[in-house]
Amino acid sequence: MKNLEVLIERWRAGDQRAAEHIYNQHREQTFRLAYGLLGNTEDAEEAAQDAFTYALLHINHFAAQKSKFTTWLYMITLSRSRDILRKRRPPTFSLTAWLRNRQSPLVSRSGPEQRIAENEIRHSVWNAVQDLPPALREATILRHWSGLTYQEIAEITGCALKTAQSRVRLAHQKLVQILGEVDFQQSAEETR
Amino acid sequence: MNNKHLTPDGLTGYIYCTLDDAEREIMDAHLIECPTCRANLTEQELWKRQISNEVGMVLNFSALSSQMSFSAIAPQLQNRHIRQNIWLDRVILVPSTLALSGLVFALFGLWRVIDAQAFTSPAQQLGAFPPLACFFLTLASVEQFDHSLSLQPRRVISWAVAVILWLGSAFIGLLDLIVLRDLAIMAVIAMDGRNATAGPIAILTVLLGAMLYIGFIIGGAEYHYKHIGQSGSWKLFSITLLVQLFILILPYLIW
Repeated sequence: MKNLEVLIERWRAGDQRAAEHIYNQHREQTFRLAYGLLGNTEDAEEAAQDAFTYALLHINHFAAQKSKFTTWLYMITLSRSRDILRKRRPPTFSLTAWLRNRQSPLVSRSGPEQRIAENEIRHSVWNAVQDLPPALREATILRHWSGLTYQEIAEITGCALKTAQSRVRLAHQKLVQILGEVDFQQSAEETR
Repeated sequence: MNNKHLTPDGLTGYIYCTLDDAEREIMDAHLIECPTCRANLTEQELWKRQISNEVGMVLNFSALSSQMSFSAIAPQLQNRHIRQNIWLDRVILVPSTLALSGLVFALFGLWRVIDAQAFTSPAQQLGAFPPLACFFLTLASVEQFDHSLSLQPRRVISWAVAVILWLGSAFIGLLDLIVLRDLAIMAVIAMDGRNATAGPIAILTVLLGAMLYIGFIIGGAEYHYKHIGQSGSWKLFSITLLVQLFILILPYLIW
């Protein structure tokens, strides 16, 4: 992205407005990645802000020929999220907070009963993802939400390519095992 | 693939495109003929789509608070200077300094041992340099835990620190051999009282120790080369150096 390269160069030269543009361009993605890893808004915002502060202060460490800026930023966000996870108790997912915080979902022309069923499905899947071990959760979020390649996942999480691939597969198997105990797939079929 | 049907690993590998071309061809050939596996594959693909959809829905509609803004971090950016010369940055200076200090102490310790002809003379005290070397090298490896290999110039630093740690532990390993040889001699004399058997025991200890040492050096180098920059490699360095430190101070504990 040529615009981003120009902004990075301007920030390296000391133009703080460029830093603000970089921040605004990546703010939501970074927060959402942290939210996926940590499961609550407060921790996710803390991780995202720490990541931005580090990235912008160490902008000279970013080498465009080695990786994309987003990949680099995600690496830092992951690192900060891991720090928070280590310091705090495992995050719990609050359905009430999630329902209060979320905006209207994309769907649904369906009736109230179907919306409740969809919410239950979403709650089950999300809870199952948050219950995964951290390494598998990272791989799931990066693969399913960010749509990154396995090479990028390996780079961000600091593991070998084969390890990244096996983590994605293992996470899928674990999720299917957990969710299979909840007979919601039939409900999912019915709500389509 | 087991005798009749595709394994769960195979199915997930297929839907997540982690199989190589040969494996995929074999599975394609099987799927053409096996309706059970085709049904299982469809089920797994449905699960995959469900997981992606739901995770995407939650994350894409998660709301940021108004407190997450650029103005919250701007003061930190204003007050700190962006270091132009990255090689003076803390993330580079700290591990480099620790690792190099450890290597220098290890070399001093080894030089002192060679100078005192301790390889051929028993019961020479190795002094403080080897334990100091272990201490600094262990700190350097612990400092690297959970640091991503790919954060430039972390990749270069990781390689440099790993090579220094490997060299340092190799040098300290030689000193450990001397300690183990001397301990074996002391043990034989203490149990047997005859100096005559101490010589062959010392040779045997050194031979066995040397074989183990060569095995650890080569095996360790291969492991670290494959896992460079990963937390497993740094942890193995830390454990190795701590064991070496324990061997170095063992005579002081016993005597």
